[in-house]
Amino acid sequence: MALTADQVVRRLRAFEQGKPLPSGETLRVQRLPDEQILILVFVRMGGESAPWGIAYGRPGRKPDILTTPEPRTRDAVAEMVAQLAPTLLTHLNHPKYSHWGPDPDTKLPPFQVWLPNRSHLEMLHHLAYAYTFTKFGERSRHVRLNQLGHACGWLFREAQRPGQTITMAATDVLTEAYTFPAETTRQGHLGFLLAWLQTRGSREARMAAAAAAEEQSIATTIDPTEERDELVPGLETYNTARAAKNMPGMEKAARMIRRVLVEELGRRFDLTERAIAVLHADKRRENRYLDDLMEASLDEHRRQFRRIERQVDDAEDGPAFRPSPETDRHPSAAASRYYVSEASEELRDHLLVHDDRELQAELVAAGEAIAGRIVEVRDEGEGRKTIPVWVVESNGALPLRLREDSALCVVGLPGRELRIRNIERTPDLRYRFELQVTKLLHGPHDNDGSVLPAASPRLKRRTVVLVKPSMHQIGRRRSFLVWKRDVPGAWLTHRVPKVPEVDLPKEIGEDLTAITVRRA
Amino acid sequence: MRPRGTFRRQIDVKVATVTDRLIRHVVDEERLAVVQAPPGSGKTHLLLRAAKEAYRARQRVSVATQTRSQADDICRRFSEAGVPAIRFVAHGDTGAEQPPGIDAIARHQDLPHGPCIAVGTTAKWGLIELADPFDVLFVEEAWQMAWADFMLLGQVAGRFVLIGDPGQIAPVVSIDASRWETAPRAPHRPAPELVLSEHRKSALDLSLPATRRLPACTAGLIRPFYDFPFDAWAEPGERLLVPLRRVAGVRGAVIERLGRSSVVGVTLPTPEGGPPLECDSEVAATAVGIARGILESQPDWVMGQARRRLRPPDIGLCATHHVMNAEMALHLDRRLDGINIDTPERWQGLQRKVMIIVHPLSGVVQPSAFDLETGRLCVMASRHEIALVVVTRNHLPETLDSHMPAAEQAVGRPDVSGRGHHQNTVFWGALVERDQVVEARGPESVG
Amino acid sequence: MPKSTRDDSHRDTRRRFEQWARNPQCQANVISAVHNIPMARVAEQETGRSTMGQSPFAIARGQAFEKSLFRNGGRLLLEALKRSRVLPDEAAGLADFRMRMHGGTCRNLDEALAGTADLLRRLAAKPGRPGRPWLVAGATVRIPGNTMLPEALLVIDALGIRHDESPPTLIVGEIKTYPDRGGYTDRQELATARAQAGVYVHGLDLVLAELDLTDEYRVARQGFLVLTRPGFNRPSIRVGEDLRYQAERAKRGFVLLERAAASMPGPSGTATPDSVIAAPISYSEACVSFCDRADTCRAKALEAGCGSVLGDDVARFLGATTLQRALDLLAGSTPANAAEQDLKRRMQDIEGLRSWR
Repeated sequence: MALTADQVVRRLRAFEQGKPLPSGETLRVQRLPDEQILILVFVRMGGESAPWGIAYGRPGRKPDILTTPEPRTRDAVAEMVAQLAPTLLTHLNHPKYSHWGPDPDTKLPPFQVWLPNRSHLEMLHHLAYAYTFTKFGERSRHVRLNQLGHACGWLFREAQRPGQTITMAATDVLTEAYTFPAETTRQGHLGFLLAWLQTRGSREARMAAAAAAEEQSIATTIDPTEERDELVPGLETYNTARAAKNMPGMEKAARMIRRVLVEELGRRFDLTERAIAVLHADKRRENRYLDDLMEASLDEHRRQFRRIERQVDDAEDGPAFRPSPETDRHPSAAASRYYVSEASEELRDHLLVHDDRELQAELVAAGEAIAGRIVEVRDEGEGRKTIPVWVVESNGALPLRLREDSALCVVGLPGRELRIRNIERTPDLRYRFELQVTKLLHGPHDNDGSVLPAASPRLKRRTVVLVKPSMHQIGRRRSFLVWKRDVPGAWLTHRVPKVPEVDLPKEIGEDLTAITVRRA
Repeated sequence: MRPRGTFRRQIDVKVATVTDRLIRHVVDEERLAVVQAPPGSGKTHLLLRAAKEAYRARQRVSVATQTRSQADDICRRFSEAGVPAIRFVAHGDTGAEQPPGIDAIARHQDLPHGPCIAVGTTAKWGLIELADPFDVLFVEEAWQMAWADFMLLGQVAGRFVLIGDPGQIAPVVSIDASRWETAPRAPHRPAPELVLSEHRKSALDLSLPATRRLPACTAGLIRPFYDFPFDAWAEPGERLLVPLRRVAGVRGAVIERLGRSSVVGVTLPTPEGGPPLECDSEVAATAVGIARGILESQPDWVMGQARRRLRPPDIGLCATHHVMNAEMALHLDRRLDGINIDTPERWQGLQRKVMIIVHPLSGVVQPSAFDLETGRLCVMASRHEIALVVVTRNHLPETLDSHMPAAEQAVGRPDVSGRGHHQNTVFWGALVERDQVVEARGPESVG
Repeated sequence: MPKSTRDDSHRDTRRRFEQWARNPQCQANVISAVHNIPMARVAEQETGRSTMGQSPFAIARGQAFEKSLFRNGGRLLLEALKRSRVLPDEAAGLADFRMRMHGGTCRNLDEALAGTADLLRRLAAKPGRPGRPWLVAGATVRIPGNTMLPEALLVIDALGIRHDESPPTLIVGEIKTYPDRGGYTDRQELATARAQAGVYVHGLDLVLAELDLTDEYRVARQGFLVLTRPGFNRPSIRVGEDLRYQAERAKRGFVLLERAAASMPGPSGTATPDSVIAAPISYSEACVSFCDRADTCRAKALEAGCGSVLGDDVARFLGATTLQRALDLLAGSTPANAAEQDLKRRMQDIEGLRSWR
């Protein structure tokens, strides 16, 4: 995603000051207590997609570490991954593991899963591919692995939903919270970011520390030199001993390999802990609307994870089926999730802005919002009917993407909505907007007097910021409506088409028949 | 040189055939038709005719548009043709004035149960739960409708006619749609693309044969933006600006070249320190200067038998950046009152006799995939009936030549960046090849 | 995927072409690509270390994956290609021009080159010949006519031949070991694979023309990718890969590369790592992902105040203006030209909003 002009200028300012600068007036990530956080870290062998080692645990505590000497052995990896399942599934409140029981309507406390960077998110996707539908191995193990595959798949999908607050890639969180004076490509390295943040001194000192930190891999892959020097000999020894059925030799080599992996995993775990600590030490307050986003995340968790794990259909959110790790082949499922994603973006973008003046400035800079002064207030209503009209003037040099008929709302008072009736340029090249107030004409029910009626002349000369109101409910409604398939055009719009894209091997494809039958 | 008149008659025959086939298809209650149309080829006219005939055949007809203004426009045209229709409006819009014969209804329960034509936006149709579906749904500008939005129209009717221009700006996708890139029904892709991928054989698959709006030369120039062939209804050389006065310099050279072909490029030297990226005052002044120069030559515009004096409202200016449009507006004076300036998104569906556009890649020396998308250029280059002037910094050909577009699309998807690069190269290359590019030294040389 | 013996690997032009295409503005990169001086060697000479090492496990995995695809007459790959409808059900038979060390039959690239040309001629001469191969491993072609470039040899991972079409269609395939994750598959990796496949398409066009076989074959503009499936030991085939414009890009790229080569002093092979070190650089964000000298060049770019040290978007935003100059403008300096005027306005609009709040 290309940087906006605002982000470019902030990066220039960060460069000028030689250090990362806070982005935003408020923090846009919730700082949860340690017991509500699970840190999850992976390493894998170059060229492989399965994990070689896993570290997991709470911040501030020693992590549990799982490794396998030979990650190309499918059974050994499955055995290792199965050991992760209870902790991850308990943390994710899987119905069979949750301390809160299986009832999907139970209100759960917030929780987060932290990973060092996006490559670790990719590993969740790999695990979803490998285990969502596997029938490999002994039954109780593959059932557990299936559950883990579902959990990883849900975490990965949820990570893509705008405004979600559960799957936290530390590099994404830090780059959202701070502006770093460096190329975007390098900002996927957690050590690099933390060195910029935590080194004291000049720009050069921070830059040097960041460059040094960058030399140690924090992705799921291990540095090739280290692989060559440390792990290749260990693995050769291990495999030779295995071929010779030399158990002591195997154990010795396995210990050698584990030592290296533990060190690698530990470093990634420590960095993730440090990232969390940095946020906790940040003096900015959290955006007051984060609770709403967390609520939305928990709602998604309830509908898309706990409900589906319990195989309960939802009249609005669709039948309970295990989504494919790859895509949604059922048209309704694809469209429904697409709409949810759109609605989530709408919610995030139009909620947080009410409590963050930097976000407001960004929107104004992009021409998506108006910052101006009310120069006229009048009431065009007759009798008891009130039709408040405001005239607002703003800086005419800025871009403007709003048009007549656009709906807006007042920052800080989102319920008060307005419609642009007319846009003009004044002779001194300012924008002049005529707006009709359409909602919350008198103020909220619990008005303590701080909110003036929209037609009050006392509003004149006040500065206002007007942003688009959130239409997320519309997206949500569409996500429900699109499941309705007893419609006359369903033969075209809702049928699973006969095109090559439908062909997915059964080990990664969702059960399309089950979806259709359940809907029927 | 094709025989004058014969070719046009052939086009008229083809249009009549397409119209007849579509009307027959709709009246016979066939299920699916898709019509691809080049810009200004009469697709709305076709939709109106087919909808009217379906209504005459006592069908309940619904029309979905992508914007409110499109819905209003269709209702206005029904009204002008004396066809009664319903404008299915948003709650709160019932008070808006409607043309004669058009009723505004907001509640779906209030829609008539008998034969009628109801026109609303895709958004409006998609958010209701219709108890009494229509017989047929026409979708206007269907290539601007994402598949997910089309799915919600499945409840409106059981039969569909999708009409649109595939070269225009695609639906805006603001979220990460990676998950659905390989889905058989990717919710973010234009609906007709997906419909045709499976139903091309069973659907009535039509295309309008010619653009009526664009001059012959332009049709050839924008054809690479499309995957289907089309011609121009206008004969070469029959649409002209006939200046009464001579103007000198670059403006004169532009007008002289417009006498040879409908499209002219104007380049300005790229400054030593690099071109301004967003707001290029010189390019803005040049674009306005060309408009002024054209008007100062007091030209008549000629389209077939029609001949009138060109006035400022006959001219449009367009740049992709808002600030650039604002900058052009600053250069307008009272003599240019009436010239409309806007972004390509806002120009969609509109036309002018003369368009002067700032090339989307002017000032862009490191084009991104977004910069190379040609939807906006296609819109900008297809709004004129007589003449198009494309203004740019002269780095453009070199930028295109040295740029190596990366094919970063998802698996199995078309190489949009590569295609955009190719189309841009072909578009500008054709102007150079036809000697239709005028080099200006600076805005002062344009006046 | 290693193609051949150590010496032969340097003859495969594809990598050098892609290295050049990733940053054609950088003169040092051009010299390195044209004269076949690996940047790793340059970086080692310059700083004592190189940064772009490959995982030994990944290399081994690539070799093993490819071997598994072509084992037993290419059974696994042929079956996968038939399932994906790249080849018809009747398809059978593998022509193998891979090096012996990778499980093939050729001793060196020259043998592969001659074998490929011979196969194309023979198939054209007797189209209906029984036992004709539908799949070719390691087909090797030379791009003719590049006098300035040391050699333009291309080794095509997998080449499908549709004998059931008239004329027979050659379909280019690229084998990669990274995981196929549908729409999430790494886009940059995909771009590299397609760029390589585009080069093959262009190379095949030229070779068929040179062999006077243009009318005997059609080179498909859609290719296929052979990827791995996470968690499974089976290939994943992606069909319908759009190579039209990547082939065009390759064609134009070779012309530009040739032009760049022609402008260089000295015949091919005369440049040394010192020539690369002495050449002007043009640092961009992309360098981080492919060039061993990225750190060195970034330091130089920083010294010169290039916006690219803050990323491509910043460089694009600043145009030719240096970082320091941009900051001066922000601090109130008077713009010296239109570009600076525009830049200052854009920055001030943003900053103005921040101070407004």
